[in-house]
Amino acid sequence: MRQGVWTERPPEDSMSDAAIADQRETGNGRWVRSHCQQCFNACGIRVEVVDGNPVRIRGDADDPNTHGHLCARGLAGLAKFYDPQRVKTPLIRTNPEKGRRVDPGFREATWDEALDLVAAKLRTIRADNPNKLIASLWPYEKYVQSSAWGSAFGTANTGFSFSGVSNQCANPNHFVGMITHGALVEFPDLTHCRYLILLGSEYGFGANQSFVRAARELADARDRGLKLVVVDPRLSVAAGKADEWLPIKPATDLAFLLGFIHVLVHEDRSYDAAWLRTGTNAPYLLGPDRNFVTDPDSGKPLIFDETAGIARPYDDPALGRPALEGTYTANGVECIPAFQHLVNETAGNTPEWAESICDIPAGTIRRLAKEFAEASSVGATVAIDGVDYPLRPACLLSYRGLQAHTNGTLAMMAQETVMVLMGALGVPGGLVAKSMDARRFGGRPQLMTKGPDGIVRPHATGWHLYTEFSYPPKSLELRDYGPLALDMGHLVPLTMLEPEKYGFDYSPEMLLIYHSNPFTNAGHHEVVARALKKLDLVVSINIYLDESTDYADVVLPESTYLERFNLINWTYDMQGLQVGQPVVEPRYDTRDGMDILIELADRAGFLFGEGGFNAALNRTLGLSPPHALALDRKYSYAEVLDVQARCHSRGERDLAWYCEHGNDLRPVAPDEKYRMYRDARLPLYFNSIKAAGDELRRNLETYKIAERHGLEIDTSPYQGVPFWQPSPVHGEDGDYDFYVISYKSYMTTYGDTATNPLLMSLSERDPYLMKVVINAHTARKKGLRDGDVVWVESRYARERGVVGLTEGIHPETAAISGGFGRFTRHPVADGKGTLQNAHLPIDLAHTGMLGGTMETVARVRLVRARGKDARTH
Amino acid sequence: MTGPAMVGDSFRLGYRFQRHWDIAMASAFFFGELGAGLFVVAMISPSWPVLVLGLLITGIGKPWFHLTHMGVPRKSWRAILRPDRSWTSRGLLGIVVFTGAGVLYAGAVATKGLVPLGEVWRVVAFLAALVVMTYQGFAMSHSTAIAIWSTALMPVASLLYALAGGTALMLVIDGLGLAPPPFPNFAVMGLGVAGALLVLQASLLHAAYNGTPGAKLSASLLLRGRYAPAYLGLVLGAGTVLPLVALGIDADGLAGRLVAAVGLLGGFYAFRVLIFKVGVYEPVMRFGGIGTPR
Amino acid sequence: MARWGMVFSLARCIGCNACVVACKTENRLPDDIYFTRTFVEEVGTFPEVRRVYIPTLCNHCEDAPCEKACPSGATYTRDDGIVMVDQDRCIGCSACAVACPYDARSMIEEPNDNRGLFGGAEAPPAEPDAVDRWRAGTVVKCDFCSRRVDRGLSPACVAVCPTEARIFGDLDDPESAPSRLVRTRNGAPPLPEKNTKPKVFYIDY
Repeated sequence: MRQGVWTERPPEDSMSDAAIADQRETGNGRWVRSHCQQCFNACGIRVEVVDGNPVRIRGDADDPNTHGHLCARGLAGLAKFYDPQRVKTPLIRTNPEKGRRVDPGFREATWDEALDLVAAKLRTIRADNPNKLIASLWPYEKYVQSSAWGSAFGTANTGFSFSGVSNQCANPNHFVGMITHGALVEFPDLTHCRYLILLGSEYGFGANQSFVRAARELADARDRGLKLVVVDPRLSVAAGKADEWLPIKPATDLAFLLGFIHVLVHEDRSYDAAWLRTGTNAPYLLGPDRNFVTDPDSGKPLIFDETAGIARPYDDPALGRPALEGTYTANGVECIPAFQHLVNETAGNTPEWAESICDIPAGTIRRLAKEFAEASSVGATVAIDGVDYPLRPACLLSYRGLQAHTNGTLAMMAQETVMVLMGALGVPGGLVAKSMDARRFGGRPQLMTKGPDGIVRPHATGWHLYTEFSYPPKSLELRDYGPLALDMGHLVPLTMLEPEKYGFDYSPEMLLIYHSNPFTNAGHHEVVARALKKLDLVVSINIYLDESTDYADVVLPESTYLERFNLINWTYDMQGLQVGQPVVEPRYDTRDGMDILIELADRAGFLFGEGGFNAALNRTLGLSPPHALALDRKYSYAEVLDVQARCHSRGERDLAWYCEHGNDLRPVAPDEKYRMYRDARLPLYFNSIKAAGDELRRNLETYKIAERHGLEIDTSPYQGVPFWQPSPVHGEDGDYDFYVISYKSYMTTYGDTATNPLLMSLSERDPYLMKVVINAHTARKKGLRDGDVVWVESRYARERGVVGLTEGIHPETAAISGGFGRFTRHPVADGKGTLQNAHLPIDLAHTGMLGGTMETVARVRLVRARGKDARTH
Repeated sequence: MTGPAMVGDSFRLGYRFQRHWDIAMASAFFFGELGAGLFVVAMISPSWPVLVLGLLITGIGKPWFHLTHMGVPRKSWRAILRPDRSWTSRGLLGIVVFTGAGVLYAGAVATKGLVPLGEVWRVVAFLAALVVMTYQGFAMSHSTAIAIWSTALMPVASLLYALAGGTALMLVIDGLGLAPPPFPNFAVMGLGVAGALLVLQASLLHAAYNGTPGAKLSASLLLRGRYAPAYLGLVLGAGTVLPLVALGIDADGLAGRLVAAVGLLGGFYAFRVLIFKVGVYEPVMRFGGIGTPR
Repeated sequence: MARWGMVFSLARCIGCNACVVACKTENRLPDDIYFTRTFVEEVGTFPEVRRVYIPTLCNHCEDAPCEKACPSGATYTRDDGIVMVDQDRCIGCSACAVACPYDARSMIEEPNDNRGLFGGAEAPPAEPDAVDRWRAGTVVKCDFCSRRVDRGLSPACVAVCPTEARIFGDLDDPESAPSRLVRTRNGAPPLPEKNTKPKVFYIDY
């Protein structure tokens, strides 16, 4: 183990510590504490204000989560505030023609005129059928609060509807993480971890959650000797720094993991058997229908007791040693433990089989699985605050790169299968959960509960973990046909163009977009554009005019994060809140987006009463008397947050306290961080997925969805254990010889940062970010050179790009950074880089309805541009 | 592995062109050396109009282009403040002394001794001219930053080109009969400097190819790519081969001398520009193979 | 008197450019000028390939070639080892720039000297210390954030670095963090063959 400055406290005089007291900071201004909102991680910042102008942003050294460190985006945030392209006043369209780069002819309007226009339509729709409003609300620092507005309005089409986050995010991570161990997001416990495999994730290197903190923690862990293995088609930042990089063929991580599981359960047999027997549903008996065999009296699942030779309910105090393997008879049916089912199902998934699909050598898969199992140190424990916890210092962590595929949910199930097999969820060294509990709004962490079957039940405030079937369907995302989809917002432009085809009895009339841009975060642009044109009224709450506002009828200008309030906790292991506050008054006639929503709710008549927005906010924020919103009073958003602050501090702190102190974050106790599922069993067998699939199949048959609408909803993925399912792109035309992937850099948050001149000048100096990056050997074979201007062609789009060569990419892969390739009036962003998602089809075949994913890989070919097209600017 | 390459503005590790000294600076170097060279050649058999011409070329041409180059021209006088460590300061002092002593010496020649201490001014002006003819080379060779400059051949090049420039002008002046030649068969000097320049360029390339990777890269930039035509055509062809041929055919005719002089001056100026253009900073680090950086 | 120096851990640097933006905003640098840059290099061939990020800034050399080349006396070394440029004295001859093997110097050129973030004339207001800091025509470079150091702070690039890949401190103190790192982890200066004696070292490569 290497020793160094990072494993000790730096000496007092070294000044290497970022803990800098305010009064020692340079400058002549006033420093205001806040938190950054240029991505959802809410890092503490301090902003220097001179003569009423913000002049400098630095990290807040008193933020215990980030220690005053900050990323490039956070440090460059002033550009957002001073951007001359900001929308400065409400705008109303005068040109009836809508189209890409067609000038909407916006005229300036008063807030009253614009709000009344929008509210009038809201009233009409709400009286008719609230589902005719699509409320696409994705202000990341408060998306749950804004979604509550959509719920209060009564529409099934709220949250990520229309834009979707299925392209940008890792929906399966949230969905499978929650049903496995209550984790909205999973974090490797890097203080103990010694072996980390990242799959399609740049945790600690830029993308994924909590970048600033994770970067330090992972650098420290690597300094202590953590082995880092990265599986990624592209030599990502993480892969570039890893001990081992495994260039995988895009969208085949599932095969890699199945091979990995095969080694663990068939060859090495190095799983944590003791834990599987007592801490998971691995011993639960499955009948021929692969559902649990239950006790006829109690209805509880049965386990075969090897000691007694009989099956008993899982919680029978007399239960001896539960059987994991074998074939038994219980309740008169032949049954096998869930673990045996996994063994059977993965029998064919040898590393050699995996290699044939994912291009990672069988020997490597075998070696890694064994190394991983050894590093997991099954049986080891560690005492923390006098309590013994299992110590499992090996993590497998995946994110969007693995998951944003049609088979992404199965792949995420495979990841969790490995982690459950090793007993490494929620324990020191393993993956710990950030749960969707009241802690995010300042409350105490809530332990997970367990269901009558003994299996963990997650908290999922503000998230759809299960959508009831209904016909005609309500959700334009087709959640009715995909009960376990977290988000299929990208489908909305498709379904709303032909609602009757999918069984809808209504057609949407209005779209409210808040902090979202379907052209940069959804798929195929023609579909998005046609859908936008079909709507009667498109309203955008926005800071800039962007691709989508070319189709908007009304633009309501939002304040930047330096001019508005927020109160949140985005950390995974701390309690308390951190404030976002206006460091100055709004520079223009803009408002906090939440205040706009409150105002619209008021004018459209759904702010007050039990079904109103106030009541919805009370539920979402966990507010209860005496600190709850009165249902008959109109609050500003700052006043809402003041109530939230008082409620969760039991009256001790108000918003003003947070504005002065920044945050009251402090680490949660170890027993609120580890094993939050306590004695609830974790699923090795995803029985809830299996059950939902069975239910869906019955409903689809009952309502004859296939016959009536010609819709083939694929229910085959709804299985209790992961199995190989290729992505549709694997079978698509060989004429398009590259798999094009997209990725995220630490200088971008979606397309939002492309307007920032500081970040753009750096991005343009990066050797890869603006390029279509391909393997140098492949390029040689195809006669392409570095700097060649090419057309990136797919069946859906044709976009210009500049070839960049690297040794660090899978030979059949082309990589395009997300966040660029904008076509907008903003001079800083326009035309720089290439947009990948124009090549992504919006259809059911490329949608993973289990979990809710969009296939983010496309097949393209690169054709050298000629003539004036070949000129670079 | 593509390996370090010219990387322009990008943040790739690699070679970067020096962009600080460009045409204006090259012109200043050119005129400074040319004037001093002419002055020294003219000293062999003193002719005051030619001496004055040399002084004018250095005394006007060089400051003019220096001021064009300078970021804060009005403070340029400050450049003389650090002769203890800076070749720029030394050179500028050299110019001051050169023009001062040169004027007095030329005056003494013109007035046939009316200006006193003619011998003293002659020696001082000569020594100062030598400084002006070489210091720019020293300024370049003194720094290790630009590898192809970092060689003792730079001051030699300065001296040789100064002499070549002076010789070229003198060939024409003599050819036109405006002043007597410094010595009989003066064309021999033209052949001599052209030959010496050929040897010098060969030595420069040889040294660069046997030097650091940066020097090698710069040398290859002279021989291949966008700068190669200028280097091969002007510096080598016009600057050395052409004068040798022209003077070999027509050493005493005006045509031969004109062609030789234009070739020498063209090669001289092209060299001054190109040696700046191909100067590169080396990457701050080199990595041999994989494995060590985590 | 301290002798300030910096250590870069090549293992820890992930090239995130936070330092670069911190520097640009701290010093309010014109668009095309960078006092610190993080270079990136691929090492190896597919699939055995890794990436190295190499942070760079002025190395504040003990034997600073830029100082030796400066004819006007504008470049000087403070008692604490920080190599400074006095813009009142700088004449913009660029002799320092071609003398620096690390390409660490840049000329502030008009009209970039006082242009706003968005290229227009409307420079956003800035911290008063930084306003009108740059004189057109002078050749400038990193000064280890001397104004911050004088107030007991580390340079801005160090304070923000998410991975703490930059360690700043007193090289004369054998127990300071950079001294210990240089000693225990084979700290090496950039381009040692140039004999400039940098006060910046790289470790973990």
